[in-house]
Amino acid sequence: MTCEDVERLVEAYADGELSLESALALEAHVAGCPACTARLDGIRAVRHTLRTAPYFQAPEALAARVRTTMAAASTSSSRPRAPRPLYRRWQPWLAAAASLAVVSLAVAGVLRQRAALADDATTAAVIEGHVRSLMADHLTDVASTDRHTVKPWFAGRIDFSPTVVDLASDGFPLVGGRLDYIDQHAAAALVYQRREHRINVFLWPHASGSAVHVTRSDARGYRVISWSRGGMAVWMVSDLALVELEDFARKLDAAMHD
Amino acid sequence: MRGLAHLDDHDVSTVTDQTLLSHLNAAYNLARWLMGNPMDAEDVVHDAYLRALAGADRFRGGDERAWFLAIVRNGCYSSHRRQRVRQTSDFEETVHGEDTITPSPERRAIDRDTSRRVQRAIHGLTPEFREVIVLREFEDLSYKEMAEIVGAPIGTVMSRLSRARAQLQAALAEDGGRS
Repeated sequence: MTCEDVERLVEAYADGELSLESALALEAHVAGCPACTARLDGIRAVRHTLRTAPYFQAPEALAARVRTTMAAASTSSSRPRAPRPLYRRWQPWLAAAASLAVVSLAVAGVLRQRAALADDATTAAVIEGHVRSLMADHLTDVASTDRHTVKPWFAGRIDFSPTVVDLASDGFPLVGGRLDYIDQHAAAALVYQRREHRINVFLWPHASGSAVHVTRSDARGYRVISWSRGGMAVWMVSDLALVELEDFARKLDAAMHD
Repeated sequence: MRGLAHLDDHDVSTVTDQTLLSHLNAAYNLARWLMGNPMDAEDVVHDAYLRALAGADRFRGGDERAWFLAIVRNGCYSSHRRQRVRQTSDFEETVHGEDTITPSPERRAIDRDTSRRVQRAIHGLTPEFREVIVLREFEDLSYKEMAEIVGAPIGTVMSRLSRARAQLQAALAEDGGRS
């Protein structure tokens, strides 16, 4: 790889968008080239500085407004037959917005048509579990960054002992744990954080013994990676970029089987 | 209203509504950066939810977050086109209303001054450049997702991102030198 190639590819590299092969070639060149090292450092410095800019969180009032709108749409759409009395039902509390609401109601039916998840039910359940934990503001039952607090918490609450590792030094601090129920399994949910992103790691006993079977899927902006090893199924889900989630998966797997 | 015909046939899965709701912060952050003030950002986001429900039949599978953020993004542009009539300056930052800002370790460590300078520099970009910066640096979206959201080829996204970063680097160097 030449300096011109690096100039062209270095941003994609910094963004984690290069194929493994190209990334390795680029790293090999950069290692021996001070000019390209400086170029890469420059990009990383800008990116680091940019991350000091504020992330604007949706105000609670907006969240409430959106929830009301969506609840109106989905409640009404569970009705068996379409809907003459609709307007009357909504009138007391949505009169002004009624025409708008009827439109969203009508289309809520269509919303269901979206191919839910092409993937299997567990993936859907894992994503649902993740979303539920974020939406219901019930991320953790035991909030602690200390694995020696989190692990014992599960004792007596669940009939297996999950391996809890701390990856704070790798940039994935532990946030806590909670009990969850995924696809008919009682699961230990461990929550990790990467910048603004939450990662849910679900663990439950799995019969397949020591087989490592990695699957990845990408649905609705969520990435799911799963595997099983040592009699335990591991399912992780986040809206983190896939490369970063894969990185986390490797580190978690290594730490768990250290 | 052809959606009515489908009401009987399928069940709404709550996760669909919930996943849509879970993109609220991403939607708001994007709108807040593009609109420049909280009030307009809120209106655009709420409107985007209504549009998402209304346009759900146009969702063809794939990445729901990208699909939804595209609706938010297009809503911002339409809103600006309407506002131009009122002669407000385009995509200018105005300060009214309250913002809730997420602290992160990286953000806390930096003094307010730097954060302020970065914010000013990002607002100095054209919307086409600003949106790719926000999507990439705050939402960690892939080039492919960004391309879907802004409705441009991946190559265009890459070149906008690259030029946006160069402009930010220059603006920050200049701003830093001045103060």
